[in-house]
Amino acid sequence: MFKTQEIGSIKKPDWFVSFLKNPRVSKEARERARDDLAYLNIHMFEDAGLDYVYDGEARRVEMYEYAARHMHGFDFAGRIRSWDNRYYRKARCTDKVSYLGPYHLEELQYVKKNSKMEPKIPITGPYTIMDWSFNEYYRNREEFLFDVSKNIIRPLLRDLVAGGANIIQIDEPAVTTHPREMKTFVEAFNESVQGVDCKISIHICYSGDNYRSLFPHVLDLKVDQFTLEFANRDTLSLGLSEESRVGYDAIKLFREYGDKRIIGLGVLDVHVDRIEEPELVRDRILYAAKTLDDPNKIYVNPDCGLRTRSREIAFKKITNMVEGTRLAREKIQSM
Amino acid sequence: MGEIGAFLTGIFPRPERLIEATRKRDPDLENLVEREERKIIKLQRQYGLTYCSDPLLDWDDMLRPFTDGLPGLKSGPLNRIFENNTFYRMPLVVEKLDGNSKYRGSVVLKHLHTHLLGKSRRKVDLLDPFTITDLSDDRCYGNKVELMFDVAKVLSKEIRALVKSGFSMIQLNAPSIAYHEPNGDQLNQIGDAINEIVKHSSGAKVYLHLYWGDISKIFPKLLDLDIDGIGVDFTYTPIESIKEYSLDKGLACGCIDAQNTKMEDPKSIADFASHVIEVLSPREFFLTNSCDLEYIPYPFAIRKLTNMAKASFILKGR
Repeated sequence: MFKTQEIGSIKKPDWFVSFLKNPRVSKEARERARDDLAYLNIHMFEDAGLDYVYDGEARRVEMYEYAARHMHGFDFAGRIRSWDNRYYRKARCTDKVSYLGPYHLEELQYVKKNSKMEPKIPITGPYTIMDWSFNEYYRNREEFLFDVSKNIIRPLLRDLVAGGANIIQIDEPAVTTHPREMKTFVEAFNESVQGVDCKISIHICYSGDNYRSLFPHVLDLKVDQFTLEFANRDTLSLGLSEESRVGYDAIKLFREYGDKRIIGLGVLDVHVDRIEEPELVRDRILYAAKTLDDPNKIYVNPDCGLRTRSREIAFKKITNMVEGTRLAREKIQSM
Repeated sequence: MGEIGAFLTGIFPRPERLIEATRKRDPDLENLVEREERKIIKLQRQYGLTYCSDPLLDWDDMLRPFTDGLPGLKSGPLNRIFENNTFYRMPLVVEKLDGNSKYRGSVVLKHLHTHLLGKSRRKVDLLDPFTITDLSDDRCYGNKVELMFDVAKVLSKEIRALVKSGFSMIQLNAPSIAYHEPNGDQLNQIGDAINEIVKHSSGAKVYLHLYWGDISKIFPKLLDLDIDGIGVDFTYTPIESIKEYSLDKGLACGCIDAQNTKMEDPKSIADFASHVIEVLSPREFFLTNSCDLEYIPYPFAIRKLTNMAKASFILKGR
C-alpha cells in the first residue's frame, strides 16, 4: 500500500555542469562524471527510502531537448521564453521523423546494475514532443503526432522493455494545453504503447483546467497509472476537510467516472523550498484514499521533477514524503 | 483605399546575447538593451514600416508593467499564456483600480524607450481591457465586468499619456476575445469598454488585434465597434469565413505566422494580402505578424520581419 516514487529530474550540481562545459574535459571523463552523478542520485533516492527509483535524469540536458536531439527530423532553432528570462531550446521538425535507436537504454542499464530497487524510467511522450516543436514538415499537427507516436516512441518503448524495463513513465506535460485535441492525443498515445509489455504510467502536470479536459477521453487511455500534480494547488493546513485539501479536488473526477486505475499522488510542491511536514503528506494521502475509497489505488510522489530545488531541499522533501507515507499507512492499518 | 503598409505587433524575441547578459546580470545590461532595441528600430525604419514600435526586449510579458507598477495590482503566480508553453506572471487584483485617485502617471511609458523612436510615426501595443481582466486573478471586485470597466479607465489614462508622447497608433491586443469568443451580451459589454477607450484616445488611431482564435463568428459584432481598425490572425481565422463582410475600417492583416519558424516568402504574403484586400475592401491595410514574434527565436523573427517588409513593397507596387 502507498508505494513511493520520484518523478524524474533532480538538480545537477554546479560543479558537474561546469565540468561538462569545460572544453578541455575528454568525452570519456564526461561519461564517467555522468555515471558518478547517476550513482549519487540513485543512492540519494534509495537512502530517502523510495520504492521505485531512477537516476534523476543525470544524463539529460532537459526532457524535451535531450529527446529531440536523439530523433531524426529535428533541427534546433533556438531559444524560446518559458517565463521572464528562463528559456528552453525548441526544435523545428523539417523532415519525416524516424527512430535513431534506444536513446535511454544505456542509462536504464546503468540504473538496473546500480540499484537494488525497481527502476521506473521516465521518457518524454509523443504529444509533448510534437507540441513543443515547430512543425515545418507535416501538413498538420495530427499527422506529426502520429508519426512521433508510431515511428519513434513505440520502438523506443519496445527496446526499453527488451532491455529490462518493467515500469515506464511517459511524461506528457503538454497534454492539457490544447483541450480540443484530447481525443487525438488519446488515440496517438495508444498507438505508441501498442504491443508494449510493461506497466505504463503517464505523468501530467500544471494543467490549466485542473485535469477536467482529460475526461472522458482518458478513460480509453492505455495506462496503468496517472501520476499527477496536486500539492501546488493545495493548502498547508492539516486535516482531511474539503477546505484543507482543496488541491486534491480533481481526484473526484476519477471517482465520478469510475476510473479504478492507480493515481500517483503529487504530495510535494516542487516550486517552493518549504519542506512539507510528514503530517501534511499523511493527510494529503488519507484524503485521496478516502475520496477514492481504496488506499490500494494510490502511489505517492512529488508533483513533478525536483530539479528547480537544491539537492539538499529535494532530499529533505523526499525523506519527509516517505515518512508521511509511513504515517498514512499506519493510520489506515490501525482503522 | 487609403494607406497600404506594414508594422510589427507585440514583443520581439530577445537575441541570444541579451538572454545571456540578463541571465548573468551583466552590469552593462541597460546599455545592451538599448543597443539591441536600436537595431530593431533601425530595421523598421530602413524597411519603411508605416509605424515604428519599441520591440519591448526588456518586457517579461505584456502585463508586467501593470502587474509591477499599477496601484491595486500585485504580482501573482506564473500561469500559462493560453495554449503556449510560455508563462506570464498573473496580476492579482487586491484593491480597486480607481483610475482617478490612485493613478500616479503612466506605467507603460516608464517601460518604453521612447527616445529611440525618433521622428517615426509611433505605435504602441497594449492588451485590451477584457484580456487584462481575463488574465488576472480578481480578489477584490467580485464582479469581472466592473473590473473590466476600471481597467478600461486605466488604459484610457495610459493612452492619453502615450499620445502626449507622440504615439499615433494604439494597438489593443485581444487574445482573450479571440480565444473565448464571448457571447452576445458579454461581447456588448466588452465593446462598451473598448469604445470608452476610443472616446479618450485623443485623436490617435485605435486598432483591436485578435489572435489565437477563429473570430469568424464574432466578426460582424466587431464591425460595430468605434475602433479605427481590426487586426485578424489569419493563421486561425480563414479569410473565406469572413468574405461576406465589407470592412468600413482599417485592417491589420496578421498573416505572418509568429508561432512557426516556417518562412513565408514575400510574394506569397503579397498574393494573400491582395486577395484579402479584394475580399474585404478595408479603408486602409497593414501587414503584420499574427501575434508577438517572441514565440520564435530571434534570427527567425528578423527573417520574418524582412519578408514582411519585402511583401509590403510588392503590394504597394501593385
